[in-house]
Amino acid sequence: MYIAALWVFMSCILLSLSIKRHYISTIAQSKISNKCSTLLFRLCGFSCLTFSFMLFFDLYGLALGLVSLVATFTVASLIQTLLLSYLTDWINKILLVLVLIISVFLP
Amino acid sequence: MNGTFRQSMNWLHTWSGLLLGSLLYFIFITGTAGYFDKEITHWMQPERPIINEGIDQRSIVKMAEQHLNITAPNAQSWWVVFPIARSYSAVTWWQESDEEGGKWKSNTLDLQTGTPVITRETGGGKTLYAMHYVLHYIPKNLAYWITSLCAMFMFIALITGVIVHKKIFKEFFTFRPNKKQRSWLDIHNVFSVLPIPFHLMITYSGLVFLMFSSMPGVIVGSYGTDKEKYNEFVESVFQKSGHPEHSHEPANTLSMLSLMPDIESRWGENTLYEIGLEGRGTAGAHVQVKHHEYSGISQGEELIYHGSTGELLFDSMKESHPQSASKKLYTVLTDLHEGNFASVALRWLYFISGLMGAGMIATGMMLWATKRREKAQRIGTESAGLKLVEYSNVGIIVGLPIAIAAYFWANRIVPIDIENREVLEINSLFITWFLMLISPFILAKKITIQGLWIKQLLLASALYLLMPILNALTSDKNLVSALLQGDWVMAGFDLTMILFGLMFGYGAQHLMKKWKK
Amino acid sequence: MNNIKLQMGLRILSRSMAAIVGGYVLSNLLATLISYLLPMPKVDSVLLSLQLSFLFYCMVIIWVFGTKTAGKAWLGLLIACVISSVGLYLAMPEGSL
Repeated sequence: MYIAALWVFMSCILLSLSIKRHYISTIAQSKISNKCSTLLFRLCGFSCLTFSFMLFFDLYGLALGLVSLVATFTVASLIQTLLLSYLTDWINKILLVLVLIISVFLP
Repeated sequence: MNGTFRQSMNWLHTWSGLLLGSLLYFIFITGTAGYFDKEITHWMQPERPIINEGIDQRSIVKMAEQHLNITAPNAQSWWVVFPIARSYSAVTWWQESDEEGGKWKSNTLDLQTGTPVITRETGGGKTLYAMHYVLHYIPKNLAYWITSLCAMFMFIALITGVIVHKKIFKEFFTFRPNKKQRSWLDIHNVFSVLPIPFHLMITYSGLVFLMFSSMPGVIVGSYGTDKEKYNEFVESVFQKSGHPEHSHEPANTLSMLSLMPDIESRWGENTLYEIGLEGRGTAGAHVQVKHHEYSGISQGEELIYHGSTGELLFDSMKESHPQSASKKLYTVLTDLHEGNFASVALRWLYFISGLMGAGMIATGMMLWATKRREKAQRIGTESAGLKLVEYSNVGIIVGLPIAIAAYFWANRIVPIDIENREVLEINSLFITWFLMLISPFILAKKITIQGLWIKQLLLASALYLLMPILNALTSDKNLVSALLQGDWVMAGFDLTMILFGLMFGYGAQHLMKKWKK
Repeated sequence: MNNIKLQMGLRILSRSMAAIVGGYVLSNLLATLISYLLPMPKVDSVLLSLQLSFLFYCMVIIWVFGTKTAGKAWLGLLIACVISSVGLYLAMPEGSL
């Protein structure tokens, strides 16, 4: 369940980075964020979200899985919002750590 | 209205949110507390013994029935709730016979001795959360109307909020602090948009919960104005399968203990949440057994036995009476609203979402005041009601948490043997809230509104931070012993109070720095 | 100045009444009509219509505040109420109620 939550959190980070304003504040100082990166982040973000739903569905079934997904997304997106406002520099590092943790648990 | 559709919706959003905002804030805060109602009650009755593992449910049933035989031999119903899932004690419930008044009573059992524990009379977490639809001091039916109206205003505010929020996706995850009006709008958006599924669900299901009272026209349209017909409709909606007919014919009733072997052969040992014997001594007697686990979001499995023959009348796992689509929709909505199925983790998520909802309302009221204060500073004249809202915001937003803390403090300070102490506890909540609400107005000449925000935040901080100490001084439980003995509920309550105290304290400190007081 | 404020206040009051009271009446009528039109047993169709009634109420309120004038809102409500009442009269089986 906690792994699924991490996937949801990762999807929040990725989806936020697909938004121009947040991309500029975290990754690139330049005002140019090309359509390609927006699309890529959005794709990755939604894929992670879908995968986490599959994990929740596997654990809890359809009804409870959906509820868990939505509830987790609510809090994960809140955390991501606060990170973007107060700890912007940490986001890239957190993303890296998440990818590492998840890749360890993937098999 | 004047202007474009969006502008009309903006007007509608502002007023549907502002007019009943304070009541909606009350509803959200007390309702959110309800997700931990049993845990709150556990803290408010520290006399309850800590349950150690390893007492099997058969022994508990035996103890309970022995106790009930002495205490309530003429009762029409006997129930035993086991210390499992979110029930933190073994509790016996009974309904007195109709001749004796038909009231429900309960005793918490000490499982070491089989005797009842004297627990203080308190409304506990149940009364606190029930206020979110029953309110208080007014007749229930009136409260249902008022709460339904609030829920409708809330729903309109949600829908119009989405309509007017132009950049709802572009501004997702956005919060820009230290920018006055912009920051208030940002945080209002964060609390509103991120939990939108929760808000829509909780508001609509709240409306549905009360629909039998609030939309009688639809029922009258099909069933007429007869009270009997109305009851007929309600009964057919809520009829439970498997329950035998009521009867007043006397008959011998089995003990619940005698059914335990059969129950355990179907469900295994120690899986029950509760077992109850209804219609004792009559031909309609039956034993109901409920499993502690939920199936998805709906109620767990149930068994019903005949009270005299012990024959299995109903097994929810084998019954294939599918619910109609309408009934299914109703149960899904109400189950989601109550969240009874939620595990600890999910329950915390529900709790946080509820607090975000309260935050949505509070930040909305603050945004309204801030916008108009900035405008007043620019053009020199205040809009009507600005002072009223500014002065009442602090008492509403910080005053209510202070009042709830007062409820908990009253629980420990009011002596155990005073009559009607639950009433005193609840009155403490409302008296405190009233005082917090009027203090800005009464002290207007002496303290500025900014000073009052800081003072109330400091008061809230103190009341919450000191609660674990209050706990230790007024009971034989405390945070340290709870942690050592594995009483996570008691410890969790104290720790959460500390967390709230720290948050209020941080708020006070932040404002003191900002306004250099 | 005061006259204009009064006029605006009355307009707002009129529209709010239309939305809250008129909308309530209309949504009850619509929901009752739906309960007769749904091809389900009476218990179920009433139960479902009750649950849908709030959607109707919400849509009516938003529509009322979206019209150009309060008068138009009242007129629209009246027409809708008449149509649903007629529909209800036609849909109701003889001799019920």
